[in-house]
Amino acid sequence: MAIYLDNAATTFPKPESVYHALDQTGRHLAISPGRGSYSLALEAGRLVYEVRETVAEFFNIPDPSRVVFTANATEAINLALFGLLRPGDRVVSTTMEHNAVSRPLQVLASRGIEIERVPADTTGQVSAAAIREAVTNGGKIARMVVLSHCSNVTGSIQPIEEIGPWCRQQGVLFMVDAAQSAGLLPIDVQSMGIDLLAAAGHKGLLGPAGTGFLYLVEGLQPTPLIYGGTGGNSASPLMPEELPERLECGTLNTQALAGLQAGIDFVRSHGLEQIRRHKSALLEQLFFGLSRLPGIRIHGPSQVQPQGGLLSFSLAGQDPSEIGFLLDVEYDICIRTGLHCAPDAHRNIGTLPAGTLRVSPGLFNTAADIDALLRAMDRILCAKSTISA
Amino acid sequence: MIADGDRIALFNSPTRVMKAEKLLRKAGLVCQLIPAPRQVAEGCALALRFAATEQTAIFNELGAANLPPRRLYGKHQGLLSALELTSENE
Ligand SMILES: Cc1ncc(COP(=O)(O)O)c(C=O)c1O
Repeated sequence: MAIYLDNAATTFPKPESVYHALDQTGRHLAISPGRGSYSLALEAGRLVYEVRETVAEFFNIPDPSRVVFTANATEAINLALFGLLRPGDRVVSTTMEHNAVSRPLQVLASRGIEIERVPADTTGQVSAAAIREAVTNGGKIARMVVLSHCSNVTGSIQPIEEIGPWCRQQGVLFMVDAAQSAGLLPIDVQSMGIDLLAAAGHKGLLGPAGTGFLYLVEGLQPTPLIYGGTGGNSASPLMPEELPERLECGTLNTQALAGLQAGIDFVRSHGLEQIRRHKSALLEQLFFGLSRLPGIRIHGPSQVQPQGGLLSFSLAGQDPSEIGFLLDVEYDICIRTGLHCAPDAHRNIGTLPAGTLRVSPGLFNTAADIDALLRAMDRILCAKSTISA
Repeated sequence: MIADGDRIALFNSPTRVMKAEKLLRKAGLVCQLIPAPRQVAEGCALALRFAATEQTAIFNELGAANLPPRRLYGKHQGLLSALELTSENE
């Protein structure tokens, strides 16, 4: 069986309980929630509401109706950025962002929104002081700060607990892309001063693909990204004012949301600390194994600094995509190569245009999987040096 | 669907009515989600039905959770009429 080490893209496999929830809900309750008032529709509506509550509890969100379900993190990010930013606004972001943030910002720049990207250091770390300076610089205080909590390229963890409360004091909206950190690092929207939290349900929260959400603090009322039916109040020609319906039209994926609930339950029952310990142990094993290889460069924070659930590296004189190809076809090992949808971050750490090799273990990977990867790397490099010798 | 002495409460959104139902059931109060009758709501809204005798307890619970209904109706001698949003309408 293949060894899957691309959990930063999406986690695989999921816990058994997630498959069970998908199967049971698919068979017995795959009904459009919030539409119609027969018992099954009400039951589906209650289920979806419970998932909303679970998400709210997990991130210390005071009101579940401020949790808007989306298809993935990208949709949640687009919803917030296009729904709230207006010409004349200034936005502070970073050079470490995924295309899910940087591409919408690029479009918004052409619509009269000023974007400032704060550079990270060569390990991918952004400093809170640099963010503060960018917010107050430029003659006009920024309207919003948006950044990823944890980089999908280097695993760098940004100091959101420092930036958020300061932004709140300054009256600046603080938005966090938690695609890589939700389900790995503790996130508390209240103590961290987070106004907008976008996350994927299919990564660290262990739900199925097709799940994600946006949390919006009380008082924010973005224009919708899409318009359509919302269940209640159908006679009105306009979208409702209330959340989540205002931002959540069309049939919801009841089944997938039931899977997300099971995923979050799994994470809660194991605890973030244990999950992080497991992944960190595998990454440490990988780090020391890789350190022996000739020409190895590990990108991102060193092992002593905190990092997320992945490790990026490159090898002098080697094309990451070729190594990735050989790992796949000869050893049945899936890792990610290239730019990981974040060219800005690679520019920042100096790995353009080839990118890096990225390994992101999941909860069900073991030390034996990492050993297999290290052995395969040894053999590939050994064979290559024999050929070129 | 609605009997004399019943109360019908409407909320701002389908999610809020779900929230209200869950809260009240947890508190051991009897209520039921029903399709809002067309005299009181345009379109396909859900409403919460409960007995007039439960109104005080239900309003106290909803008030404590900052979940006041948007409108309230009572059925009397077969007719639905709007009531003031207070915990008692006797
Ligand atoms: C930092 C970051 N932001 C956003 C995304 C987009 O997530 P999704 O695939 O759920 O849209 C990813 C996924 O790779 C990511 O790593």
